Amino acid sequence: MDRLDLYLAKNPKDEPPDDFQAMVRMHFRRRQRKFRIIRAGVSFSLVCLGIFFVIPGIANLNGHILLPPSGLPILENLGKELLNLEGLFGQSWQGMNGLSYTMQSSLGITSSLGLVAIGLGSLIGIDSFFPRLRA
Amino acid sequence: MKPQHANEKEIIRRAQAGDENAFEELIRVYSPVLYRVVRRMSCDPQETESIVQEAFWRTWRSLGKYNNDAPFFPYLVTIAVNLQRDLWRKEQGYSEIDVEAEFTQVKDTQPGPDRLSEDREVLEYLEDAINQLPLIYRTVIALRYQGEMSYDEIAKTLKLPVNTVRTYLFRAKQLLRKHMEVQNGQAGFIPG
Repeated sequence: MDRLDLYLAKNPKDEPPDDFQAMVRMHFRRRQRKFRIIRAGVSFSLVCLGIFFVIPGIANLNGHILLPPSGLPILENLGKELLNLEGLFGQSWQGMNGLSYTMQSSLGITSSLGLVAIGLGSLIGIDSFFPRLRA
Repeated sequence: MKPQHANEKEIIRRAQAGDENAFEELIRVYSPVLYRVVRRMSCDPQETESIVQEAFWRTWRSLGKYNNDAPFFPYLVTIAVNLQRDLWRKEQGYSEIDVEAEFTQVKDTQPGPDRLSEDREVLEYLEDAINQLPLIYRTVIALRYQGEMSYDEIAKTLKLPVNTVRTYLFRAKQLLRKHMEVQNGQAGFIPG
Protein backbone atom coordinates (compact mmCIF):
# COMPACT_ATOMS: atom_id res chain seq x y z
CA MET A 1 0.00 0.00 0.00
CA ASP A 2 1.57 3.33 -1.07
CA ARG A 3 0.87 6.87 0.07
CA LEU A 4 -1.78 7.43 -2.58
CA ASP A 5 -3.66 4.38 -1.31
CA LEU A 6 -3.63 5.87 2.19
CA TYR A 7 -4.90 9.22 0.93
CA LEU A 8 -7.59 7.51 -1.13
CA ALA A 9 -8.76 5.49 1.85
CA LYS A 10 -9.14 8.47 4.20
CA ASN A 11 -11.12 11.48 3.19
CA PRO A 12 -13.17 13.34 5.79
CA LYS A 13 -15.38 14.80 3.06
CA ASP A 14 -16.75 11.33 2.40
CA GLU A 15 -18.24 11.09 5.89
CA PRO A 16 -22.05 11.08 6.08
CA PRO A 17 -23.93 13.72 8.09
CA ASP A 18 -24.44 12.90 11.79
CA ASP A 19 -28.13 12.07 11.49
CA PHE A 20 -27.75 10.15 8.24
CA GLN A 21 -28.65 6.69 9.60
CA ALA A 22 -31.78 8.08 11.26
CA MET A 23 -32.68 9.90 8.06
CA VAL A 24 -32.42 6.73 5.94
CA ARG A 25 -34.39 4.75 8.51
CA MET A 26 -37.13 7.39 8.60
CA HIS A 27 -37.27 7.47 4.80
CA PHE A 28 -37.58 3.68 4.74
CA ARG A 29 -40.37 3.70 7.35
CA ARG A 30 -42.30 6.45 5.56
CA ARG A 31 -42.04 4.70 2.22
CA GLN A 32 -43.01 1.35 3.67
CA ARG A 33 -46.09 2.90 5.31
CA LYS A 34 -47.11 4.52 2.02
CA PHE A 35 -46.55 1.27 0.15
CA ARG A 36 -48.64 -0.66 2.68
CA ILE A 37 -51.52 1.85 2.45
CA ILE A 38 -51.51 1.60 -1.35
CA ARG A 39 -51.54 -2.20 -1.19
CA ALA A 40 -54.34 -2.19 1.39
CA GLY A 41 -56.32 0.14 -0.88
CA VAL A 42 -55.79 -2.08 -3.92
CA SER A 43 -56.68 -5.18 -1.90
CA PHE A 44 -59.89 -3.60 -0.50
CA SER A 45 -60.93 -2.33 -3.95
CA LEU A 46 -60.41 -5.73 -5.55
CA VAL A 47 -62.40 -7.51 -2.84
CA CYS A 48 -65.25 -4.97 -3.14
CA LEU A 49 -65.26 -5.24 -6.93
CA GLY A 50 -65.24 -9.04 -6.64
CA ILE A 51 -68.20 -9.04 -4.24
CA PHE A 52 -70.07 -6.63 -6.52
CA PHE A 53 -69.61 -9.06 -9.44
CA VAL A 54 -70.27 -12.25 -7.49
CA ILE A 55 -73.40 -11.35 -5.50
CA PRO A 56 -75.87 -11.42 -8.44
CA GLY A 57 -74.49 -14.78 -9.53
CA ILE A 58 -74.76 -16.22 -6.00
CA ALA A 59 -78.36 -14.96 -5.70
CA ASN A 60 -79.19 -16.59 -9.02
CA LEU A 61 -77.48 -19.81 -7.95
CA ASN A 62 -79.45 -19.84 -4.71
CA GLY A 63 -82.69 -20.01 -6.69
CA HIS A 64 -81.49 -23.06 -8.65
CA ILE A 65 -80.39 -25.29 -5.80
CA LEU A 66 -83.07 -27.61 -4.50
CA LEU A 67 -82.35 -28.73 -1.00
CA PRO A 68 -83.93 -31.97 0.30
CA PRO A 69 -86.69 -31.29 2.83
CA SER A 70 -85.06 -33.20 5.62
CA GLY A 71 -81.93 -35.26 6.11
CA LEU A 72 -83.74 -37.88 8.23
CA PRO A 73 -84.93 -40.19 5.39
CA ILE A 74 -81.38 -40.24 4.06
CA LEU A 75 -80.07 -41.35 7.44
CA GLU A 76 -82.85 -43.96 7.81
CA ASN A 77 -82.05 -45.46 4.42
CA LEU A 78 -78.29 -45.15 4.83
CA GLY A 79 -77.86 -48.83 5.67
CA LYS A 80 -79.73 -49.92 2.53
CA GLU A 81 -77.92 -47.35 0.40
CA LEU A 82 -74.56 -48.55 1.61
CA LEU A 83 -75.39 -52.08 0.56
CA ASN A 84 -76.23 -50.81 -2.91
CA LEU A 85 -72.81 -49.26 -3.66
CA GLU A 86 -73.39 -49.03 -7.39
CA GLY A 87 -76.55 -47.02 -6.90
CA LEU A 88 -74.88 -44.80 -4.30
CA PHE A 89 -72.00 -44.04 -6.66
CA GLY A 90 -74.41 -43.25 -9.49
CA GLN A 91 -76.42 -40.91 -7.31
CA SER A 92 -73.33 -39.11 -6.06
CA TRP A 93 -71.95 -38.70 -9.57
CA GLN A 94 -75.28 -37.38 -10.80
CA GLY A 95 -75.47 -34.95 -7.88
CA MET A 96 -71.97 -33.58 -8.49
CA ASN A 97 -72.63 -33.17 -12.20
CA GLY A 98 -75.85 -31.35 -11.42
CA LEU A 99 -74.13 -29.01 -8.99
CA SER A 100 -71.35 -28.29 -11.47
CA TYR A 101 -73.85 -27.57 -14.27
CA THR A 102 -75.97 -25.37 -12.02
CA MET A 103 -72.94 -23.37 -10.90
CA GLN A 104 -71.65 -22.94 -14.44
CA SER A 105 -74.97 -21.81 -15.83
CA SER A 106 -75.74 -19.49 -12.92
CA LEU A 107 -72.37 -17.89 -12.17
CA GLY A 108 -71.22 -17.03 -15.67
CA ILE A 109 -68.16 -15.05 -16.69
CA THR A 110 -68.82 -11.99 -14.53
CA SER A 111 -69.11 -13.97 -11.34
CA SER A 112 -66.02 -15.99 -12.17
CA LEU A 113 -64.08 -12.78 -12.66
CA GLY A 114 -65.49 -11.58 -9.36
CA LEU A 115 -64.22 -14.69 -7.63
CA VAL A 116 -60.76 -14.15 -9.15
CA ALA A 117 -60.80 -10.52 -7.98
CA ILE A 118 -61.77 -11.57 -4.44
CA GLY A 119 -58.99 -14.17 -4.39
CA LEU A 120 -56.37 -11.75 -5.70
CA GLY A 121 -57.47 -8.99 -3.32
CA SER A 122 -57.36 -11.38 -0.38
CA LEU A 123 -53.87 -12.56 -1.31
CA ILE A 124 -52.56 -9.00 -1.62
CA GLY A 125 -54.17 -8.15 1.73
CA ILE A 126 -52.68 -11.19 3.45
CA ASP A 127 -49.26 -10.43 1.95
CA SER A 128 -49.30 -6.83 3.15
CA PHE A 129 -50.55 -7.46 6.66
CA PHE A 130 -48.83 -10.78 7.36
CA PRO A 131 -45.55 -10.59 5.37
CA ARG A 132 -43.96 -13.18 7.64
CA LEU A 133 -46.12 -15.88 6.04
CA ARG A 134 -43.83 -15.57 3.00
CA ALA A 135 -40.88 -16.99 4.92
CA MET B 1 -12.88 -1.76 8.27
CA LYS B 2 -15.92 -2.98 6.38
CA PRO B 3 -18.80 -3.29 8.85
CA GLN B 4 -20.46 -6.58 9.48
CA HIS B 5 -23.03 -7.38 12.09
CA ALA B 6 -22.30 -10.30 14.39
CA ASN B 7 -25.61 -12.00 13.58
CA GLU B 8 -25.85 -10.72 10.04
CA LYS B 9 -27.27 -13.91 8.54
CA GLU B 10 -29.95 -14.12 11.20
CA ILE B 11 -30.85 -10.45 10.77
CA ILE B 12 -31.07 -10.81 7.00
CA ARG B 13 -33.21 -13.93 7.41
CA ARG B 14 -35.58 -11.95 9.65
CA ALA B 15 -35.62 -9.05 7.19
CA GLN B 16 -36.40 -11.47 4.37
CA ALA B 17 -39.34 -12.68 6.45
CA GLY B 18 -40.65 -9.10 6.52
CA ASP B 19 -39.24 -7.87 9.84
CA GLU B 20 -38.80 -4.13 9.33
CA ASN B 21 -36.81 -3.69 12.54
CA ALA B 22 -34.25 -6.20 11.29
CA PHE B 23 -33.91 -4.29 8.04
CA GLU B 24 -33.48 -1.04 9.98
CA GLU B 25 -30.61 -2.71 11.79
CA LEU B 26 -29.01 -3.40 8.40
CA ILE B 27 -29.53 0.26 7.51
CA ARG B 28 -27.84 1.28 10.75
CA VAL B 29 -24.82 -0.90 10.00
CA TYR B 30 -24.41 -0.31 6.27
CA SER B 31 -25.67 3.22 5.55
CA PRO B 32 -22.41 5.05 6.52
CA VAL B 33 -20.18 2.86 4.34
CA LEU B 34 -22.63 2.91 1.45
CA TYR B 35 -22.77 6.70 1.76
CA ARG B 36 -18.96 6.91 1.49
CA VAL B 37 -18.94 4.71 -1.64
CA VAL B 38 -21.73 6.60 -3.39
CA ARG B 39 -20.34 9.97 -2.31
CA ARG B 40 -17.03 9.13 -3.97
CA MET B 41 -18.87 8.26 -7.18
CA SER B 42 -21.41 11.06 -7.32
CA CYS B 43 -19.57 14.11 -5.84
CA ASP B 44 -22.89 15.64 -4.80
CA PRO B 45 -24.05 15.14 -1.18
CA GLN B 46 -27.77 15.50 -1.96
CA GLU B 47 -27.61 13.12 -4.88
CA THR B 48 -25.67 10.71 -2.66
CA GLU B 49 -28.37 10.79 0.01
CA SER B 50 -31.17 10.07 -2.41
CA ILE B 51 -29.23 7.24 -4.08
CA VAL B 52 -28.50 5.61 -0.72
CA GLN B 53 -32.16 5.89 0.32
CA GLU B 54 -33.37 4.45 -2.98
CA ALA B 55 -30.76 1.67 -2.82
CA PHE B 56 -31.97 0.59 0.60
CA TRP B 57 -35.60 0.68 -0.53
CA ARG B 58 -34.88 -1.42 -3.62
CA THR B 59 -32.84 -3.83 -1.53
CA TRP B 60 -35.81 -4.23 0.84
CA ARG B 61 -38.16 -4.89 -2.08
CA SER B 62 -35.83 -7.45 -3.67
CA LEU B 63 -34.63 -9.10 -0.48
CA GLY B 64 -36.58 -12.25 -1.36
CA LYS B 65 -34.20 -12.85 -4.29
CA TYR B 66 -31.06 -12.41 -2.17
CA ASN B 67 -29.09 -15.56 -1.45
CA ASN B 68 -28.31 -15.49 2.27
CA ASP B 69 -25.01 -17.36 1.78
CA ALA B 70 -23.47 -14.53 -0.26
CA PRO B 71 -22.05 -11.43 1.47
CA PHE B 72 -24.67 -8.71 1.86
CA PHE B 73 -22.62 -5.57 1.23
CA PRO B 74 -21.71 -6.32 -2.43
CA TYR B 75 -25.41 -7.03 -3.07
CA LEU B 76 -26.34 -3.64 -1.63
CA VAL B 77 -23.52 -1.87 -3.47
CA THR B 78 -24.53 -3.45 -6.79
CA ILE B 79 -27.99 -1.91 -6.44
CA ALA B 80 -26.48 1.49 -5.56
CA VAL B 81 -23.99 1.35 -8.45
CA ASN B 82 -26.78 0.49 -10.89
CA LEU B 83 -28.80 3.45 -9.63
CA GLN B 84 -25.79 5.73 -10.01
CA ARG B 85 -25.13 4.44 -13.53
CA ASP B 86 -28.76 5.02 -14.52
CA LEU B 87 -28.48 8.56 -13.27
CA TRP B 88 -25.25 9.14 -15.19
CA ARG B 89 -26.78 7.70 -18.33
CA LYS B 90 -29.74 10.05 -17.95
CA GLU B 91 -27.62 13.09 -17.22
CA GLN B 92 -24.44 12.62 -19.22
CA GLY B 93 -24.93 9.78 -21.65
CA TYR B 94 -22.62 7.49 -19.66
CA SER B 95 -21.08 4.66 -21.62
CA GLU B 96 -18.34 2.25 -20.62
CA ILE B 97 -17.01 2.36 -24.20
CA ASP B 98 -16.02 5.99 -23.59
CA VAL B 99 -13.48 5.03 -20.96
CA GLU B 100 -10.50 4.92 -23.30
CA ALA B 101 -11.42 8.28 -24.80
CA GLU B 102 -11.93 9.83 -21.38
CA PHE B 103 -8.56 8.48 -20.25
CA THR B 104 -6.78 11.05 -22.39
CA GLN B 105 -9.14 13.89 -21.56
CA VAL B 106 -8.18 14.66 -17.99
CA LYS B 107 -7.82 18.40 -17.75
CA ASP B 108 -4.26 19.68 -17.68
CA THR B 109 -4.86 22.66 -15.44
CA GLN B 110 -2.21 25.29 -14.84
CA PRO B 111 0.16 24.62 -11.96
CA GLY B 112 -1.09 26.25 -8.81
CA PRO B 113 1.02 28.06 -6.24
CA ASP B 114 3.69 25.97 -4.65
CA ARG B 115 1.79 24.86 -1.57
CA LEU B 116 2.87 22.76 1.32
CA SER B 117 2.00 19.10 0.95
CA GLU B 118 0.14 18.81 4.20
CA ASP B 119 -2.47 16.12 4.48
CA ARG B 120 -5.38 18.52 4.21
CA GLU B 121 -4.07 20.10 1.06
CA VAL B 122 -3.18 16.79 -0.51
CA LEU B 123 -6.71 15.61 0.17
CA GLU B 124 -8.07 18.73 -1.50
CA TYR B 125 -5.94 18.13 -4.59
CA LEU B 126 -7.00 14.51 -4.54
CA GLU B 127 -10.68 15.42 -4.30
CA ASP B 128 -10.31 17.67 -7.32
CA ALA B 129 -8.38 15.03 -9.22
CA ILE B 130 -10.91 12.28 -8.47
CA ASN B 131 -13.78 14.47 -9.64
CA GLN B 132 -12.10 14.77 -13.01
CA LEU B 133 -11.62 11.04 -13.49
CA PRO B 134 -13.75 9.08 -15.94
CA LEU B 135 -16.85 7.73 -14.20
CA ILE B 136 -15.88 4.08 -14.32
CA TYR B 137 -12.50 4.82 -12.71
CA ARG B 138 -14.22 6.80 -9.97
CA THR B 139 -16.55 3.84 -9.38
CA VAL B 140 -13.66 1.39 -9.13
CA ILE B 141 -11.85 3.68 -6.67
CA ALA B 142 -15.00 4.10 -4.58
CA LEU B 143 -15.60 0.37 -4.36
CA ARG B 144 -11.95 -0.40 -3.62
CA TYR B 145 -11.16 2.32 -1.07
CA GLN B 146 -14.47 3.41 0.42
CA GLY B 147 -16.24 0.05 0.11
CA GLU B 148 -13.09 -1.94 0.93
CA MET B 149 -14.11 -4.57 -1.60
CA SER B 150 -11.80 -7.16 -3.12
CA TYR B 151 -10.98 -7.15 -6.85
CA ASP B 152 -13.22 -10.16 -7.21
CA GLU B 153 -16.16 -8.46 -5.51
CA ILE B 154 -15.69 -5.32 -7.62
CA ALA B 155 -15.55 -7.42 -10.78
CA LYS B 156 -18.81 -9.16 -9.86
CA THR B 157 -20.49 -5.89 -8.92
CA LEU B 158 -19.52 -4.13 -12.16
CA LYS B 159 -19.82 -7.29 -14.29
CA LEU B 160 -16.25 -6.87 -15.53
CA PRO B 161 -13.31 -9.32 -15.71
CA VAL B 162 -11.02 -9.12 -12.66
CA ASN B 163 -8.06 -8.10 -14.84
CA THR B 164 -10.04 -5.19 -16.26
CA VAL B 165 -10.75 -4.03 -12.72
CA ARG B 166 -7.03 -4.19 -11.92
CA THR B 167 -6.21 -2.25 -15.09
CA TYR B 168 -8.84 0.42 -14.36
CA LEU B 169 -7.56 0.88 -10.84
CA PHE B 170 -3.94 1.10 -12.02
CA ARG B 171 -4.83 3.66 -14.68
CA ALA B 172 -6.98 5.64 -12.28
CA LYS B 173 -4.10 5.93 -9.84
CA GLN B 174 -1.72 6.88 -12.66
CA LEU B 175 -4.12 9.63 -13.72
CA LEU B 176 -4.51 10.85 -10.16
CA ARG B 177 -0.75 11.10 -9.73
CA LYS B 178 -0.37 12.91 -13.03
CA HIS B 179 -3.19 15.32 -12.28
CA MET B 180 -1.90 16.10 -8.80
CA GLU B 181 1.61 16.70 -10.08
CA VAL B 182 0.27 19.12 -12.67
CA GLN B 183 -1.85 20.86 -10.03
CA ASN B 184 0.97 21.15 -7.57
CA GLY B 185 3.73 21.79 -10.07
CA GLN B 186 5.96 19.17 -8.49
CA ALA B 187 7.14 15.97 -10.08
CA GLY B 188 6.56 12.99 -7.81
CA PHE B 189 4.17 14.95 -5.60
CA ILE B 190 2.79 11.66 -4.35
CA PRO B 191 5.43 9.02 -4.82
CA GLY B 192 4.35 5.47 -5.56
